Amino acid sequence: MLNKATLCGALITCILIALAASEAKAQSNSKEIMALPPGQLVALLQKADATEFEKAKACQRLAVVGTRDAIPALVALLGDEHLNLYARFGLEGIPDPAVDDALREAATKLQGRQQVGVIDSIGQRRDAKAVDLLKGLLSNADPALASAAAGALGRIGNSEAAAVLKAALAQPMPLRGDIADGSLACAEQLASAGKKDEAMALYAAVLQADIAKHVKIAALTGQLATLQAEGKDVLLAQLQNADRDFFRIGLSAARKLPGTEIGNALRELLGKLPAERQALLLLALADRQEGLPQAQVLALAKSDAPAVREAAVVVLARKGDATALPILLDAAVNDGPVAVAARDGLKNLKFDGIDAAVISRLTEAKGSAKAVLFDIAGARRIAAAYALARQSMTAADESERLAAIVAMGQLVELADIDLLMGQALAAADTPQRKAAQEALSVAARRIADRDAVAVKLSGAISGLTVENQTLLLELLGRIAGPKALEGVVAAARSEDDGVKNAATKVLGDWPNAEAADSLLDLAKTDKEAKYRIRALRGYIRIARQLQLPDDKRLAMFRTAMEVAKRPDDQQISLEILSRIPSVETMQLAVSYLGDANLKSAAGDSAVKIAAKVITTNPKEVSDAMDKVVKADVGGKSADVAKQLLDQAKANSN
Amino acid sequence: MSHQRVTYTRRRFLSTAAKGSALLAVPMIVPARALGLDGAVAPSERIALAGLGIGGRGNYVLDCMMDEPIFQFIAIADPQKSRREAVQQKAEKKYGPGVAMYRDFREMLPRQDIDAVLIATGDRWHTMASICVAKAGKDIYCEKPCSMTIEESQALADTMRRYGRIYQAGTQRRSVANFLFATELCHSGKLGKLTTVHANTLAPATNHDWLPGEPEPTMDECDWNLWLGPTPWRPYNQQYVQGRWRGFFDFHGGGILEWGAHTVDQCNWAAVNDQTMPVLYEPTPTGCVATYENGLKLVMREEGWMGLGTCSVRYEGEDGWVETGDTGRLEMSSSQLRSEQRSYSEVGTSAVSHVKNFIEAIKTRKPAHSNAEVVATSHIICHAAYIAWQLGRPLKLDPAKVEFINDAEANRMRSRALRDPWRI
Repeated sequence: MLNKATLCGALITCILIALAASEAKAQSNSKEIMALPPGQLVALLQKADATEFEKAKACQRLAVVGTRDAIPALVALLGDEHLNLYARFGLEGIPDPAVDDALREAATKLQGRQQVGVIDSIGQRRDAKAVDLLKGLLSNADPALASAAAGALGRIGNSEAAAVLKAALAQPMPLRGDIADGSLACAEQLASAGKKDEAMALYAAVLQADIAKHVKIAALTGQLATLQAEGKDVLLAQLQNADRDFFRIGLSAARKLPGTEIGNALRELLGKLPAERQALLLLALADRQEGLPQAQVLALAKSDAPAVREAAVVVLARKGDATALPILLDAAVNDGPVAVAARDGLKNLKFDGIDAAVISRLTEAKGSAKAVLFDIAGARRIAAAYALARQSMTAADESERLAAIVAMGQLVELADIDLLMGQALAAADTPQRKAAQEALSVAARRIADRDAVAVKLSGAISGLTVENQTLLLELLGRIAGPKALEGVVAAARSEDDGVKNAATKVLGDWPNAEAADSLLDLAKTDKEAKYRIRALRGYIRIARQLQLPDDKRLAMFRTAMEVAKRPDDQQISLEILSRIPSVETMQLAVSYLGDANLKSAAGDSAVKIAAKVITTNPKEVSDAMDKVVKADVGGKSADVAKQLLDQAKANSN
Repeated sequence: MSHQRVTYTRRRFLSTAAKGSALLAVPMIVPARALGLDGAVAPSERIALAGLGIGGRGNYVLDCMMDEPIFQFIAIADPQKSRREAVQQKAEKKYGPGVAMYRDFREMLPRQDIDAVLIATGDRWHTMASICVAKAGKDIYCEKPCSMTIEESQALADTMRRYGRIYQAGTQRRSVANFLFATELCHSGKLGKLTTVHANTLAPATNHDWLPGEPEPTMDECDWNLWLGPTPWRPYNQQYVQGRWRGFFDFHGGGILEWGAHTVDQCNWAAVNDQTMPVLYEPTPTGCVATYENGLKLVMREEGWMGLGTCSVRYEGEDGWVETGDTGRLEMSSSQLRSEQRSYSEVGTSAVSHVKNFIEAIKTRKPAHSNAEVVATSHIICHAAYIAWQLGRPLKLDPAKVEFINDAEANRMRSRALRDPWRI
């Protein structure tokens, strides 16, 4: 009797033979290669006639499962033009320290790109024993190699690496940028390890080097991150640096460095900066945990410098209290650059007095100012604004009128929703009608009693133009719920083709499974085939896409297959099965393979389910995929079925 | 500001300005003058922008940027001639002649007149290109997904912090109002104690195959070596460079990351305000269920959504739930919650607000909404889920060390070797 190991070995041999037979085929058989055990992967690497593809895949798999036994075979590929990265892929993954020894040795033997790659792998593995080797390479004439050595030293990140990098920074080396980059990475690791003095010294060496400005900025960023609460002097120096890029480091750090001492120093500095910088620092200070005293921001909001004034308004709009109200209200109604920020602030801030202040201004305001205040009142849902908005719905000033209508969407209650409906369903196509439609949509979705809203909307449908009926039906579809469904179903039974068309579309796109029974009923009973088909498609969509218990979904599949008369609908119905992955549904899909019209869709579903249950049910998948393969379903599913069949057979063994 | 790597302890994140909570209160735009700009943008205040690998989505984001007067697009780098020429042509139509073209971005980056770079290459390049750009002292807007591995995610955040660069990932839903509203419902406690957050992800897949080799085009037409970049060598096939690189392990982060870069990111923000990550990852046939230390579940699933658009998320608490997606529509469990919503006009795919936030971040040096630390966190979650799915077994993760517990194979999958001369 053949045991499992023998079978496995035979299978591997078959696979290798098949792979060797055709390069084109070999490039698509990665699954088989990557299923091999580590020993066979190594054997594949050593096989004289194995293809690049086979070796590449074996290396990639060894990165995950390889042991020290794989090291020689992988090292042997390090000099290969195409496979050197794959060999490194494998080696980098193997945790055994023997890999580090092998890489160090290889680094002394290889040349060119392959040597560079090996140095990268040494860095990737943070091999502390390689510092001396890397030190020697820093001054190599090959810039790629020297750059790799600098990067590796940075990743190693210990005191020895730091000393090498620091010394190199002081030398006139062409690759000082790479050495500085390695130094920055190294310094971070030193700081994280608690060696702050060493980190600061390395940052200082970068700052002293003849190096690009943005690298110095990075070094200063590192120093500030190391110093934390002790970084006040460095921070203040940056904020006062004439160079904008250094000022920007300060801006960033001003948000992050902790401590009241720093906070106080920054506030003190604020008034001494030019206006543009004051504005930016003000925004940064507002983001600090302790924030800014409101009085200081209020004072800045009256600054002569527009930039400072506007930044202060932004801060007040984000974090202001009642004392900021007059400034925010003035800024909101004036059409200046901070108007949007002020309006947003007034819509979102939460303290007593805002609503009353808005109403007070609203009572006196005119024209565009009134429109702004209606916008704010609507967003805040200030009930006291309702009467004013209602009154302004007929105002002579268009901006006021339209804003009032839009605000009504946020303010109106059920009893008065007719007000909006009247304007939304008006005959003339005006801006007012458009605003009312938007408001009605908002109100219908906002008002708590959605069924009551639905009754109102449904009650208004009869006698309207098709366009208006469609508007209301779509709105009913948005709010959903039992009464909305009732209204739309009634419309779907209408004798008016336009209404029926709109209603069945809305039903077909219903946001939940509530509509399933109604759609099924229409699919069975409607007089017109096109609506029966649309309703059935809507029913199938619910079964296929929405959240349902598996038993309910399966029942809907069976029902859909019974009701569907056309192959197209049956094919789509078969997709439902793939949402219920089980042996039963896979076999159910397979049972339709005999139908020439359905075999392709049945094959698709069976394959999708098989992929999901193959691990737990390889025998059943093997049987099912055998049938799919024999049914010649065509397309991608035919290929996948073959792969699954092979995989299932292997798993069954 | 700290040297600590992207690891996850509450203490660390409480001290950083990169976390997201403050963004929710008032997502407001700072006026130009308060950013040091005065009315019409003076040439000295313009942000000189370059592009790197601009294709389909990249072109859309570039359009959003070119709509902002503060940007001036001055250079494009792409290993493919047809693509760099198309971008040059478009930019010159707006700005006039003078938009420089580069095959190799390493020749473009030393230019001192470039302030920021839009990166929209394929996934394989996102981390490496971002790191190179940061090391050249420029700010970055990079399309998602932002990394190929857990280690790349950490290196990305490390480098941005090290070089003090502004980084905005193209996870623009961090700036889109309906998603902000849903997150705010979680943070304000209006859903009660959260029990499960759901992220719309695509089914994971792994393909290690190679397409058949074809003759390589000239280096000027398509620099195959540069196209491959840090990824392993393989024979050229034009399908890769025409966009059909997705699904191949060497080029693609796996299905979960494709949308999870957005939706897992949203969920982690809503659930724990980016401050930690799940500790347990249990694969499902088409996704993963992750569990935080406090028992909160993060479900990554492909199907079963309410039809509110692509990249949907759903947050469930003891007192209610909310679901939303790219249409901007929201569904909620109660009339009380529904009554809180406003009208949201920006769809989830829009980058308009996200680009404005990028500008603000450049000028104020405040971390951008999708800064490297928050995206590193959510990408690590996606990678961990994908590794669990590949191994077909549950994995436990130590968020403080970003190491899997007692699973050597999983730990060995946290990084991939990079082709020289590329290193992180």
